[in-house]
Amino acid sequence: MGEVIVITSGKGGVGKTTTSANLGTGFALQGKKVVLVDADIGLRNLDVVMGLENRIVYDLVDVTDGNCRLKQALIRDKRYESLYLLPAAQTRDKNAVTPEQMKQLCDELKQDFDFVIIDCPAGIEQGFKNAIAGADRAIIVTTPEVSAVRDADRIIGLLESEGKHNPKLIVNRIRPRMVKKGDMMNIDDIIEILAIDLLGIIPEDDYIVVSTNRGEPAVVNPISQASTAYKNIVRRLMGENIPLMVIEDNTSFFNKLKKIFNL
Amino acid sequence: MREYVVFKGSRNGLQLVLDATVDFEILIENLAAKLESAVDFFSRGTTVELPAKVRNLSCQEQEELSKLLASYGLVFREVNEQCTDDIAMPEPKEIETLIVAKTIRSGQEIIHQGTVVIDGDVNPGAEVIAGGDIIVNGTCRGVVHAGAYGDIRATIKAQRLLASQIRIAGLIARAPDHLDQPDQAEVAFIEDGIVIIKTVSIQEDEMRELQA
Repeated sequence: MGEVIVITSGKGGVGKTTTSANLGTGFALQGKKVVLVDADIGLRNLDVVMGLENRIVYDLVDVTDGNCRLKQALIRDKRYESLYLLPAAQTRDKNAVTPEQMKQLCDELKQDFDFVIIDCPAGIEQGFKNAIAGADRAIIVTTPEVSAVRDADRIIGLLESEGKHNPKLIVNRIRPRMVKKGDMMNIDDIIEILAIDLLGIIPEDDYIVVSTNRGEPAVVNPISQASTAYKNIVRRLMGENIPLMVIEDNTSFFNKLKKIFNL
Repeated sequence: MREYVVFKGSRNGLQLVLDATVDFEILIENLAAKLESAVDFFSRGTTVELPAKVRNLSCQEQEELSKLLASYGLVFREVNEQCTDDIAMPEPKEIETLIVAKTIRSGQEIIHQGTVVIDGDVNPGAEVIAGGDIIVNGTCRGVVHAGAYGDIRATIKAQRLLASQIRIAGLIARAPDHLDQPDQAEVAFIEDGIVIIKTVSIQEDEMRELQA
């Protein structure tokens, strides 16, 4: 029996879809059978980030409406055999499915997969309620900005009222140089406000933009810093004890030199 | 103002209830005003049914109604098997071509029984479903389905054919993951059970017409 994990944030643009794609691919790299579910009906993106848009024939709403069988709507990833995507419908809206239908869908997917990862839409309305309905646990993505942290706090509260306790936190797009100078919220400030367990931190990485445009998740590239961070998170989710990554600021000249001499 | 046109929800979509005592022109006007005032309310692709035997419409009237609904993205389905003058004129009528003079954006859907002409682009995430041919006078990047009711002779033409998926009748062709940009208009059709894409040359078009 697998586990259903919902990736949520409240605020838009903090990296839910990127995180979903990378964690899903990361699990597949570890040999796990994973399905990514895009719950952002009407504003689907996960298919584009995974580079699978041209393979969509049936979607999540077709499954819940009974237009097709669940297996028909699952798209196998082009790189990893054990990775699948259940795309969202684009021509419908969030009201096209109900939380009960989503719960049933998750229960069905859990039978066949080790991990079911749900990419939640931004906001706290119907789409959010659908996305969390079948989740066993939640991962909150935030960025080091007061607005994102406030929305994350609201989401944690809403999850608690739905009986989903102990969500885990990912802080995305950390810029070490700015944190050092005190221009950006640091991790401790965020943890102090949200008071939940930290699952990992992801440094700001230009490669994410490249990978999104290519339709190839960053974890595939071993050189990118974000890739290592995501891989660590995957291993932590699988129960390993991996220390938090020390994010080094490799933009300064001195650090570049250090890297060359492998210091 | 009294309401001559009423929408009712039903299991299969919406039901259109028309007042039998009022002139058809007034009904159409009334309906247009109603649709205009609630553009966002009606989701595209919703089926609108006309319950049988409430009001008998002529074929022309039905067509007008269907066209008006189609321009708001609604699909008209008559529950009456025949329109009133069908009995006198049993020949099947050619379904009209739908011309859409705008870009179809992500999440938008055009569904039409006959041929669809798009004067604009079809963007990624948009869908065009036609019973007949599809002609895009622009760039086609979305999903296009011609001959959606089984017509394997249907074709898809576009100034720049970059569709993520091309469907004709029951066949689906997926774009390769890296697509070269065509610099010429292209046409997709079924030949020997597979979807073929060819550049459109004027001579070829003329040949086809001659053959037909």
